[in-house]
Amino acid sequence: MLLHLVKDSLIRRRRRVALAVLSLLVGTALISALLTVSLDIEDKMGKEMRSFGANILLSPRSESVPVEIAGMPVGEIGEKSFLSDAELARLKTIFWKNNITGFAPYLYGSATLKGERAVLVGTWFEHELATEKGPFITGVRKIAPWWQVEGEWPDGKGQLLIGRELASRLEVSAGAALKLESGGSSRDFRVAGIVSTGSFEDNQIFVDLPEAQELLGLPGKVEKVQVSALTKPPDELARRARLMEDPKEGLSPADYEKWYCSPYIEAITYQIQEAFPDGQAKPVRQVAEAEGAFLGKLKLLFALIAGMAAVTSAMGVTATMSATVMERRGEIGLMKALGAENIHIAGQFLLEAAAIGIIGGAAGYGAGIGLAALIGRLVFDSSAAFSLPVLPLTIVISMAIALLGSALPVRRASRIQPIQALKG
Amino acid sequence: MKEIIKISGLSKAYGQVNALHHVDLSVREGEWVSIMGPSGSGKSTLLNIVCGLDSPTDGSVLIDGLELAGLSASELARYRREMVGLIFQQFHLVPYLNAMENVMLAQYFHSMADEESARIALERVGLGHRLDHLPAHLSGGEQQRVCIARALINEPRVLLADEPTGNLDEKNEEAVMELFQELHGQGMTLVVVTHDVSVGEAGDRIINLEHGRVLVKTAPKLQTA
Repeated sequence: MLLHLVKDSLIRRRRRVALAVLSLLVGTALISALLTVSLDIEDKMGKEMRSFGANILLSPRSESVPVEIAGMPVGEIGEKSFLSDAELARLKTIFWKNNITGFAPYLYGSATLKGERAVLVGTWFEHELATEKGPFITGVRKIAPWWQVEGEWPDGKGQLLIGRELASRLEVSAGAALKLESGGSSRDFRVAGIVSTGSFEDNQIFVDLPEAQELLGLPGKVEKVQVSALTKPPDELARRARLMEDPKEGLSPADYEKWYCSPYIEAITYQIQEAFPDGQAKPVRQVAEAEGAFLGKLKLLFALIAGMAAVTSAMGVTATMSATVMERRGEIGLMKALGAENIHIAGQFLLEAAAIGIIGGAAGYGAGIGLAALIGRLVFDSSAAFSLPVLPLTIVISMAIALLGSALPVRRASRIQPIQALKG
Repeated sequence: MKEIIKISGLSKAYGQVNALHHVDLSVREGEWVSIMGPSGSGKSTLLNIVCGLDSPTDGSVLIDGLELAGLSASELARYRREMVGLIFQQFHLVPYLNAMENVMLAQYFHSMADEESARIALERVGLGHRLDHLPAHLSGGEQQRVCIARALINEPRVLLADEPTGNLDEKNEEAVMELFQELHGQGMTLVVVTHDVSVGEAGDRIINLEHGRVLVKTAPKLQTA
C-alpha cells in the first residue's frame, strides 16, 4: 500500500517531481563530475605539475663536495664524479617506471664563443631511448615545456640553442654560425634557436649531449639527471617514512611494502637510488611539496563547490516538497483522521524523496559524466576517466540531499491537524 | 446494556467562545443516537471530540473505558484506527485510489492491507461491482458507501457519522439509511450528527444541542428516557 501511495503520488505530481529531480540533477551532476575528476585528478594534475619542472635529481655519488652556482656545478672540492649516459635507461626499469614521464641528463663545461666565455651544457633535447616496453622519447623538451625557443629546437648534429641574454650580448640570432672552443678543441655550430626561460639558462649554450661530451673530452659522462615523475601527495605513511633514514629498516614490513608500492616521491626516489647504487637520488622537495599543497587546496575547493551544490539542490527539494505538502494537506489530514501516525506520513514523504533522490542521482551521474569530460577537456586537455564507483556514491549522495531537503516539509506535514485539514 | 460512551462535564472553548457547556451524556452499546441541533449548536464539536480529532477544554470522555482527555497525538491516532469508524459528509476519499484501495488505506494504518477483506466490506455496502472505480467515477451515494465500508473495515466499536446524508439525494439517502439500519440491526453502535429530522428520527434516541448545551429528546421508536 505504501509503495502504491508513493508511486501514485509521484506519477500524479509529475511536474513537481520533475522540478525536484531537476534540482537534484544539477547538484549531483556537479558533485558526480567533481568526484570523477577528483578521483582522476592526482594523475591529471600530476601530469600538469610535471610541466613546472623535474621533481627528482639524480647525481653521482661522490666523495667530493659539489659546488653549484645558479643550478650549474662550477667545481668540486675533491675528485669530480660522473654517471654514465648508457645507464640512464635503468630509470625505466624501476617499480614505478610508468610514472617516470621524462628525464634529461646534463653535462657542464665552459666554452668560448666570439671571445666570451660561457657555460656549455650538453643535454638531450629530444632523445629516443630503447626500453623493455619500446621506444621512450625523453629530454629537455619533455621535462621543461616552459622553455621558449625562438627559431627551432636543434634536431641534428652541429646545432645549438643559445640563451636569450647571451645571444643579445653577442648579437647572435637564429640561423647564425658560431665556433665553440673548449679545452683546446673547437667546433662549428649553427644557432638553431634562442632559448628564454627567465633563469640562468638565458646565459648558457645548449648542445646535444654527445657533442658536449666530445668537446669536453668526457665521452659517455653526465653530471646530473633531472627526473620528472608522477607522484602521490604525501599522507601519514609517507610523512612517517620521510623521517627515517631507511624506511626499509624503520617501517614494519607491511607498511614498507605499502609505502614502496605507492607512488610517493620518496618511494620513487628510493627505487631510483636502488637502480643507481653509484648515484644519489634526491627529491626536489619544494616542487613535490608545492604539488601536494596545490592538490590539497584543489580538492578542498572541489569539496566546497560540491557542498554548495548539495545545499542548493537540497533547497530546491525543500521548496518542491513544501509545495507538495501544502497541496496534499487534505489527504494528510484524512490519513491522520483514519489513524495514521506521523511515522506513516513521514515514511511516505521520505520514501518519495528517496525515489526522487535515486532518479535525480542516476540522471545526475549521467550528466556528470558529460560535465567531467568537459572539465577534463577544458582544464586538462584530456577526458576524465569514467569511474563506475561514482554511480552508487552519486545516488547515495542524491538520496541524502533529497532526504535532508525533505526534513522541513515532513516536519510541517507532521504538524498538520486532521480536523483543520479536513475542514479545508 | 453497557455504556460504551460516557461524557461528563464536557466543555470546549475556542478563545472566548464556548462551543460546549458541561455536556453530560452516555450511549449504550448497540444504541443508535442522533445528535441534532441548529448550526453552531456544538454538535460537530461534540462529534470531533468523540472522534479524537479535537480535545476538550474540560470534562471527561470515556469510550469503552478509555479516557480520551489527556491522550497524546499518537494515542489518539491509535484510538481512531482501532476503536471508531468515521463517516464524513464530504466523504473524504483519496481521489487517486480506487474504491478498494480507499478501503485498504484504513487497513494499512491499522494493521495490514488485505484485498479480500476490503472486497467483502465493499460487497457488504453493495459496491461489489465498483471495486476498481475511482471516486470521481462513483455517484455521491456510492462514494458515501465506500466511506462506510472504510469506516467498517477495522471492525470499530462505534460508528461516528457527521451529516452522512448531507450531500446525497433522496434515493442515495435512503440507501445509506438502509445500510445504517442493517448495521444497527447487527448490533453496531452509531452516533450520527444530522440536521435532517428524518435521519435523526431513524435513531433510537435524539440528543438535541443548543448553544452547546444538551436537551434530551426521546425518540419515537424507544419511548424511553
